[in-house]
Amino acid sequence: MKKILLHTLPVMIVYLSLGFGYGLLMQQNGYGWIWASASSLFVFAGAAQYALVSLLVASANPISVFFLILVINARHLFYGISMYSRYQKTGRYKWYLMEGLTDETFGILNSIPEDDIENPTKFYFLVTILNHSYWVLGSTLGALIGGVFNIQVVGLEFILVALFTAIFVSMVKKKDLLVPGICGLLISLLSFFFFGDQFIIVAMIGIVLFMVFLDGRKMVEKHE
Amino acid sequence: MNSIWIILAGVLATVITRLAVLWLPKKAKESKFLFTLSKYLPVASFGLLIVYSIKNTDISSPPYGFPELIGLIVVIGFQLWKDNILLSIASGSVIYLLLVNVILL
Repeated sequence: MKKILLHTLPVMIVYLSLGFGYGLLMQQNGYGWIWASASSLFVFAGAAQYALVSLLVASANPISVFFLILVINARHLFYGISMYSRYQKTGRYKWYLMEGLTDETFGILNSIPEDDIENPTKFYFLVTILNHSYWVLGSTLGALIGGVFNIQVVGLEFILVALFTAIFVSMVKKKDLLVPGICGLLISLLSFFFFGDQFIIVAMIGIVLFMVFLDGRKMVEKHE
Repeated sequence: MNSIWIILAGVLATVITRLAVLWLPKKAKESKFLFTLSKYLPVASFGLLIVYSIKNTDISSPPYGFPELIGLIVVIGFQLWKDNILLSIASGSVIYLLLVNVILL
């Protein structure tokens, strides 16, 4: 348990602080802690929730909200596919594990080699529910007492950049993952340069096409 | 009242993107392509996540993204050197946070 807590420590710092910021933002826009806690409990998607605040304020059309959030969260399709075979072995837990699979939980679960995990179901579940709790707790506190504090630490989001980069580097050190990793990064960078903020869908299509190519090449290698 | 519908729309969209893979037809789930995906997609996803998480960095005005660059170099360097993810995250983040909160104020 202590080890699991330690693994989730970077996420704890980020979720408590970004959750706090989210709760405060909700509260300042007239949505009290129940709204903030319920959104964090049931939506549980940081970027989407921040977007939802402005949509709430604008009283947007729920149908367009649905499609917008679908686009913002599209990258989660990748995590589901990536974790699918591992989660398949967890039985009923897989529903919650999939539902709670945020960028950061996906990151933590991939920061440890699969073989080093003694009891995978327990490990996946604890990491997911701990991260979920940090996020709900942060949002609730932010909405309740956010107004009281005046200290500002800038740049805590960088912990996430560091988390993703460290995991990425640890993965591409494995020989067969170097090419897919570098290509994934390059495809995303190029998509961003050409399409700006809307790059994610383009990058995802590019990455899937690249995977089709990899899959085909592997077949050829096997054939030879 | 509309607020509740907006939140519910957000919940529904999130549930769909997260659970979609469970609703794939059985044949697709057992396909070789899904196996390739589950092997190579994670590392490519982290490439995407790095770009996604750093894209809002302003490089057109001071400090021109230098703190981010230095932070990243520290993270990558520590990861290559010590191969300890927590250590890499901590050292890169501390240096970055010191840069933006203390040194560059």
